[in-house]
Amino acid sequence: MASNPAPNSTEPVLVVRDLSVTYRTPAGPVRAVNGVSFSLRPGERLGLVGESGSGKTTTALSLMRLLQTSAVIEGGQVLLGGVDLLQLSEEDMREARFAEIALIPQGAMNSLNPMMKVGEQLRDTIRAHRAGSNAKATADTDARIQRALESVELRATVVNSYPHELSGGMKQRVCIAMGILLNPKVIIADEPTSALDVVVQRQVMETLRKVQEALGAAVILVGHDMGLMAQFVDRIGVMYGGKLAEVGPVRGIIKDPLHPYAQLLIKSLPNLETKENFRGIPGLTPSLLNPPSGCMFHPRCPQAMPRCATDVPALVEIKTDRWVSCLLYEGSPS
Amino acid sequence: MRGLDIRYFVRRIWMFFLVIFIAASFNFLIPRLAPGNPIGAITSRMANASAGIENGQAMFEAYRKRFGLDEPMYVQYGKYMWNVIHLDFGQSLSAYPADVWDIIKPAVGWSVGLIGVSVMLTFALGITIGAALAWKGTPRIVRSLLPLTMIGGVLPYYLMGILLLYVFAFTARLLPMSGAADSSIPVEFDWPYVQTIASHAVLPALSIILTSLGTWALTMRGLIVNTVGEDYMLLADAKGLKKMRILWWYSVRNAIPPQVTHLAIALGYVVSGAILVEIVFSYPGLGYQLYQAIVNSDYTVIQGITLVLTLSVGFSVLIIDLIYPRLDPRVTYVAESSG
Repeated sequence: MASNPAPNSTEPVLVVRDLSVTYRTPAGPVRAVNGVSFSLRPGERLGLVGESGSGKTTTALSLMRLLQTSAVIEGGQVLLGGVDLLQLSEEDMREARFAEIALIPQGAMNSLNPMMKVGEQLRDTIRAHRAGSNAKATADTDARIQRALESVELRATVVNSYPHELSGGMKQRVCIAMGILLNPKVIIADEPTSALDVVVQRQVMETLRKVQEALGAAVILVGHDMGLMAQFVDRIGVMYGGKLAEVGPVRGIIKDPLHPYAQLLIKSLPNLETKENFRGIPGLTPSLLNPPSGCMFHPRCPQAMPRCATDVPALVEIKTDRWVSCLLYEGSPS
Repeated sequence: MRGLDIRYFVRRIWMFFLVIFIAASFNFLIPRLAPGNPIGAITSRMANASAGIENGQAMFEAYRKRFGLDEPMYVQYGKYMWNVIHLDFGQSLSAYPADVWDIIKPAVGWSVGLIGVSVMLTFALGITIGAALAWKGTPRIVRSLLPLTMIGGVLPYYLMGILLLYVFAFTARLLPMSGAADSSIPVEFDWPYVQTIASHAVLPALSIILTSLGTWALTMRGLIVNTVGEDYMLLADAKGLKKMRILWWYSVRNAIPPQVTHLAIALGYVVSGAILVEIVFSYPGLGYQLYQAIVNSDYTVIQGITLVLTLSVGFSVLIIDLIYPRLDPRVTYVAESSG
């Protein structure tokens, strides 16, 4: 399980090992993330896809230790440049946020403080990190803000606007500018365009790609829009029931998905050429309060075998850079 | 000013004067609609007191003439309005020939000083306690002790006043029993005078603060709890802001506008809101004077105080309306014409 599905070429900037997160609920503990491991090369774009409740947002937020108080990170490591973020003190973690690992939030519409001018919200991000050892943050604050706004193609005058005076796309650009202010190594983009219409979505994603490439930061894009993923990311991790079902290069997964869930997921995408009937995946997402035994997917899996109900599959590399967690492939390593 | 255009401003001011005008008219009308006659009440009281006075009818007429009550209604109304504009409320009936304004003026000062300061203090303390109650960074001990500040809320403030009076003034003799200042100390702006004013104000102020603090703290806590799940709170955390910055500039800042509205209204009622506290402590504020005027059927003083109350409520609401776009940038009065 602790194996690391990363290509061996470059030293990864972020390594996540065996991450587990549990929510304490009145009905009992819910394991939302269950032994997730992956890694990220510098400048790489990784997509995390999955249905609602698959644990993708919980995974993303736990990397920055931003979960609600009811959530407990039960185990694992989040190594950023060799430092385990899960072991940092509260104050060190606070310093690391946005300086080392930034978030572009899901709800762009409401993610900016409605009571504060945009410029002030960009400024306090920088100021919060001045006191620390972060020397790069001591550069001139306003110039830094201007540069960030320029790179997301916003007028410099937006600093004097309140969030409600901006459009959804502009707000999301402000959030992107905020994310790159302190030159982080990793940017987590949690469904950054879910509240925007498709035209603006595309523009925002292109902006994100541009600034990310200029900065050389790695990106984790969380979402469920496979089309968007296909255009943006290098690798995809498919999540199901709090686990990674499959990890691999985006082309490989879309052309030749290995995990039965990934296969159904890809098949369910509407296709203009064949115009088949719109197909979903039969069954419901598993209850994490009372998860199925064995493989999480076996109750819905068309290829389920008797031992799927008892044995828990591990994420293994069956071809170069193709990782899959399914008993079908066990015993057939590359 | 941002979010405020001149047309709205002019209309809002005009509205303020309209409200005052209507209130002043009612103030004129209501005593005259009431059965009985203020002058009659006074002359008959005088008659009773002295077991009959000579020329009763002549005296009654003389008083009527003196207060202009023999003139037609519209003339009285015109004169009344003209005088109101000049803050001339006439002469007191029971303390004739004292000017009503001379009775009200010092009382306004005492009330604004005592109750205004108490309400502001309660506001500041209440929002701080409310914020501390809602904030997850508050130490557990502090959080478990804070609800004690709400115990006072179960008592009506005049009972709290009597309790404090009994404990601190009557039994412990730490603080004065009544009044606003020690009359033996000359009225100068120096330390002994300030000291006597402060020591006289402590107990009445405490009875207001202790009994209303809980409400402020609880509403503030509720408002802050509402901000907890907001997206901007997650981003504030994600940005690595310091806890205090998040608490005051993200949480409290978003929770506070309704509380400021509440404060403005509370301040507007400063002059009437704590009548019983002023009576318990014989504090010579507006509430105390109003009570005296009612007891003595002093219609002109009652009218004067009512009008001052109307003015202060109207003025507070006017101010809050004008500064609201500053408090909440999403509120503007500019788009009015375009819908």
